[in-house]
Amino acid sequence: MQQGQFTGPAADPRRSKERSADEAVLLQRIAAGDRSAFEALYRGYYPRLTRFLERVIRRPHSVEEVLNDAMLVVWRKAASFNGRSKVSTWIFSIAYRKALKALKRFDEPVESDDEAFESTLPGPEGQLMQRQLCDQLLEEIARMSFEHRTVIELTYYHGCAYKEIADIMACPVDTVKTRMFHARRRLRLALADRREEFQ
Amino acid sequence: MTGRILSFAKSPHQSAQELLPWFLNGTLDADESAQVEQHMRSCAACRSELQCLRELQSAYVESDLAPEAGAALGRLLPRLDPVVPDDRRRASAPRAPWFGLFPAGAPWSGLFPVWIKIALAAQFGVIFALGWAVVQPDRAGSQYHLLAAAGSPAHAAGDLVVVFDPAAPQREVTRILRGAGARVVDGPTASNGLVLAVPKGHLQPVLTSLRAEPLVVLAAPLEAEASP
Repeated sequence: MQQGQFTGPAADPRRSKERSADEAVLLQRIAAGDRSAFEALYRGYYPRLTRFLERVIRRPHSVEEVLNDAMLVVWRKAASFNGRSKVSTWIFSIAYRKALKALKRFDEPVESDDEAFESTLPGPEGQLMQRQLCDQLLEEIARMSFEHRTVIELTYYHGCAYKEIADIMACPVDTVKTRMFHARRRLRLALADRREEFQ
Repeated sequence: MTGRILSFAKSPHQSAQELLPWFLNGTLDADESAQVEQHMRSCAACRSELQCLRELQSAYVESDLAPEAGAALGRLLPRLDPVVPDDRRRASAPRAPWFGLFPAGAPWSGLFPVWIKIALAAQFGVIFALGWAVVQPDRAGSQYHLLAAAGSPAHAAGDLVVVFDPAAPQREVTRILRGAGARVVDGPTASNGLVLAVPKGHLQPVLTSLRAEPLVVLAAPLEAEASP
């Protein structure tokens, strides 16, 4: 297994399958109490989970705590991994639940009020997406609800399929679709506002 | 098909719009992908939206970091349970439960006279002994679940464990096992593993053969599995 080399959206499906098989082997070893296997899995997932948690809980000082709580569950529950999903889906679902728990502890609302964002503007053209617009987008994503940030993050950065996201978030695929729809609409609105500022 | 976003209740435009983010990240199945492509040929709005999403994704990925795991891992390692995980912990010898009721420092330890403690302890002892007698036969039969538990019957009878892709057809599983010259002696375990026995001295070739099969997720010798 390659360690710590994940730096962008998911690679091709074949590579993804190979990685999942490698990780399944690591989980088997972890289930038998192999600490070196756990360390390998931890190092492999640390960049991805750090990035994911930074984006969805938005509290840099709490990221490590949530990440380590999630990986402690992986250590303790490795034997319960049944192979019905990819290892990454299983681990991200644990991290998602830990993040959700942390947000409730922070008393931050999990759901958003996206219905307030109505947009009739068409999608902006790609040429207008300059650096400032990118920054604006990232700021806008940071202001979204936990659920919407999670869908955006898992889709655009981690390259997850919508079915995987539904598994991770323990919700129907239609809910994933709806959350993505609202998130995109909100981003379009932010982009349109920004474009008006330029004009 | 359950769980698909495409729906007859939606227009092709709506369906394509919903699927664009996953069309972009390449995770749609062939049918969905073909439908989106076909729709986009005649829909300027969807093409424009896809371009927008592409820009968004590139902006999103640009801010990437590759943090180092070492320090955080160092803080987690002392928290790892010394022996291990759930199933193995459950497999360890049960502690006498009644002893834990009256720890010396517990706030209620002084509330009961000694004879009540003794009577309760005796009651628990009888209940535990009866329970143990009832559970014993099942317990012996259920040890196959504990793939990682050293000394279990599965380990004594088999040489290796194999886990197949859950989507693998039964005929393929049978073909692979026959081709490898292995015999199923136990399983499926809680981890969907099959415990196999192989002729003496053939363990390594069988492992190599199994690991070459795309439908095999894991093939590992039981001895190595058992070592911590």
